[in-house]
Amino acid sequence: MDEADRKKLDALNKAKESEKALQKKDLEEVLARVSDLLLLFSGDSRLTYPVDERGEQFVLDPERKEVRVPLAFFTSYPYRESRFLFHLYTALALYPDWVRCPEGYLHRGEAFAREAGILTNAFLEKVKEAGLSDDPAYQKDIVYRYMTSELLSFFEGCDLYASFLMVFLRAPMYEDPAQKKDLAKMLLLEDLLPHEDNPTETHRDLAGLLLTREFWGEDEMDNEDVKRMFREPVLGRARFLCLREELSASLLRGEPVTKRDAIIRMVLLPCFLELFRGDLQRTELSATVKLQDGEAKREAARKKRGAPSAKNMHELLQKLDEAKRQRAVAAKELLSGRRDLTSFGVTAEDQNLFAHYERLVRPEREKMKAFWKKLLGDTSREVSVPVTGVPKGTLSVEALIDRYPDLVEAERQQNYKNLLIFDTTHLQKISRVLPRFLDISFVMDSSGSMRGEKLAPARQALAICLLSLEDFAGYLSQNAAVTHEPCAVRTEVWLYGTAGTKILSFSDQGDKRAADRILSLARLDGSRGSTDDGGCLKQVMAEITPEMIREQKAGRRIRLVFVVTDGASSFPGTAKKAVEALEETGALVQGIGIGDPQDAAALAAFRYVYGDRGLYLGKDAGRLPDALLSALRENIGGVFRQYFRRSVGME
Amino acid sequence: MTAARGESRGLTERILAFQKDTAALRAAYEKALSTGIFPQALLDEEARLSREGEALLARSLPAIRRHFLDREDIGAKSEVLLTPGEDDSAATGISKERLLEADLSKDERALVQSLLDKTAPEDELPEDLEALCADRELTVFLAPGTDCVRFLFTEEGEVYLAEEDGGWEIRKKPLFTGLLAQAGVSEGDARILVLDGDGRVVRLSYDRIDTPQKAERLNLYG
Repeated sequence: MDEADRKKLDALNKAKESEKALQKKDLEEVLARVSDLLLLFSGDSRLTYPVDERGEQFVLDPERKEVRVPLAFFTSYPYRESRFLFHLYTALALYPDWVRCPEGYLHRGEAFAREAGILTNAFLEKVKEAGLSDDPAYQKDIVYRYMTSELLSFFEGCDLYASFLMVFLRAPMYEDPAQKKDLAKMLLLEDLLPHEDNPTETHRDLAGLLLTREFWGEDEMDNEDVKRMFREPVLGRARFLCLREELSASLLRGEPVTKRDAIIRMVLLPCFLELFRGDLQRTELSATVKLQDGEAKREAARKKRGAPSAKNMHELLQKLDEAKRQRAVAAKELLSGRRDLTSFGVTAEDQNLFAHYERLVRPEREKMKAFWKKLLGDTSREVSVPVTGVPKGTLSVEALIDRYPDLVEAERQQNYKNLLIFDTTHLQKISRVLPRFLDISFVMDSSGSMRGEKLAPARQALAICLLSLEDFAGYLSQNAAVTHEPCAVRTEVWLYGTAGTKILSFSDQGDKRAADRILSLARLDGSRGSTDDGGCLKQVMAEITPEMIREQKAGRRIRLVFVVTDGASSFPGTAKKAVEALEETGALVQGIGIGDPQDAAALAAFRYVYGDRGLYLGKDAGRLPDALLSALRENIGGVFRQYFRRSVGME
Repeated sequence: MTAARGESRGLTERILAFQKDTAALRAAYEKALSTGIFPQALLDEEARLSREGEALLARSLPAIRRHFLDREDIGAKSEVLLTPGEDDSAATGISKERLLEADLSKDERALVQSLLDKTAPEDELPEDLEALCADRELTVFLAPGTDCVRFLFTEEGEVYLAEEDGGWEIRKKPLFTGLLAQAGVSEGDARILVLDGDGRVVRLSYDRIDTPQKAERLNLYG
């Protein structure tokens, strides 16, 4: 090959490329022009229609929300826009139904199991007559599978007819006789109209004959049996017209495939069964001949009209089914308040555990709601404020002394108006100053000594505090909407034993928060060895940034730390130091101890570490929920009242 | 004996009459379908026949069960209700606290409690079932269940199903394998609770054909 030839070839290739590019551009233009109609058919405004340069069939991808339009199909034979659009519309016509009712298509075999059973029975009788009952090719499960596939392909044909009807309904221009004739020719080209020569397979033509009848008219139908059947009266009309009208009405009403199948079952399926019986009579069974299902032929036909292959279609429906299932699960979760948190390591058992405690603490939680409301109400009340030096009220000696010259002047002029020598009380609305952040840490003992009776009260205590603080946070955010004064309540949970772990963190949001809330209860299981509360408090301390310390000292941030401990601290010295360090940052620490009061060493260690910040409950672990809750109530109540006073200036 | 024969002849006649009536109904239905006018008598007849069909199915339930005892999709299900906690040792089993925390209804809880206490009475095998087990060479050590259903636990860790449908019969294939139980208690005809080797409470169940609707949905060929 010399240089000139190569150049020529390159130029040719380039020309071909540009031709293709041009076609692609054309196609994109057409698609943009008819986007309104495409939306009408698909019912989904999120769908896009990219041009696929390699593919040969329409591909619907519900995950990426796109319909890939095959360029090859577009350019393969003389292009006519109306024909092309007819294909596109047909491909989309049943899409809304697939989205809404994919299971109707996927489980058709089960819905028509009875009919498949009838056919199987008839076939097996025939097999018995022929004396081939023991033949491996005619075993009942094989025959049944064959019958199901025959029925399914019949319904696939009916679906195609339904999608054509849908196009007629939504794009009436195709009802025009000239257009219809053009389409009829196209369908003939695409091999859609049946021309089965095999007298034992006439039942396979039935769905296709619907198209022949629709596009070419009654005279072109060569199957006399079907011609007669289509003319027979059903519901006072000819069978074919009855089917067409009922299907159209159903499509117009937007009914799912199950309703459409019911119509077909009533009107057309008896014909299918009758044809099948006739075929069966004409069939001559011979030994070990495999039953031929026309799948290969149907696949070729699908390819010819650009429809998705059976496999693609099945995958599409399965994806849609999965999506529908997920929607249903999401809706159920929304209604029941339970979410799927398995990806965060939450098992169903954990969820049950949390649900149990949620139920258990419900009465207490309701009581706490009243408390929170009252607390917020207290901060926003109006108070009487004494005001001196006003022109009305009771005489004020101090004001009189201050304003004595005014009084003398007034006496001279005999005008006592506007003398500011009285005092009174005014009702004044207070401008509230709430802390910007309310950070609450629960440091829970999960050491081995917690096992047994103490575990359930500890979990209950933690559950009521976490849930109730959520309620409080809700009220505060409602309040913030009115007063423009946000106050964020945040909680965290630490579990400690030999080492401390943060389970629920301030920064958790959404599902993560829900999951960690559940886990902080589930992981509180007494599996963490010794009691090193000091170490854990150090970790809590380490997370307090200098900025937070500044805010805490300025009063913009409140930090409460509740420590639940059982038995003696392993290292009381470290613990005491950690508590003191925390207090120095402006945090409030409250210790709650449970354990045997006879154990003098444990009691002494607790007193040493927490001093008057501690509450020792003794052996009665059942009091823990109440104790923790009242500590929470007192501390938060104290903080809020203090802020209330500070803002009014009573201190 | 004569009474039973008389009854069975009565049944055959009933079935024949039912078949004849359905054929007549179908013809009448086709005729009515062509006009779309369904006379009340036709609808009444349809309702009567559907009731009759249901009654016939209900009568033949034991026979249907016997016929379908060996089907593949018997719907055998095992579901773990409760696992022992970390601090529950194998010896003590599931603790009381753990049971209280579990998401169970009151009745279920009582049943599990009786299972854990092992206070449920040991079920004796009926004689003819015992003979059947001997024929099949099954060494059954536990057989919880009701008068008409038994779950047979063998020493090989297999669980067989036995049903009484006019005579005891054992399913050829085991329902479950690799399951050893310490104790079991019946929760109804088709469900039992067992305490397995690891101290877990497991619910075993299968899809028993106990209503005409279930019998109707059976797949005869698949």
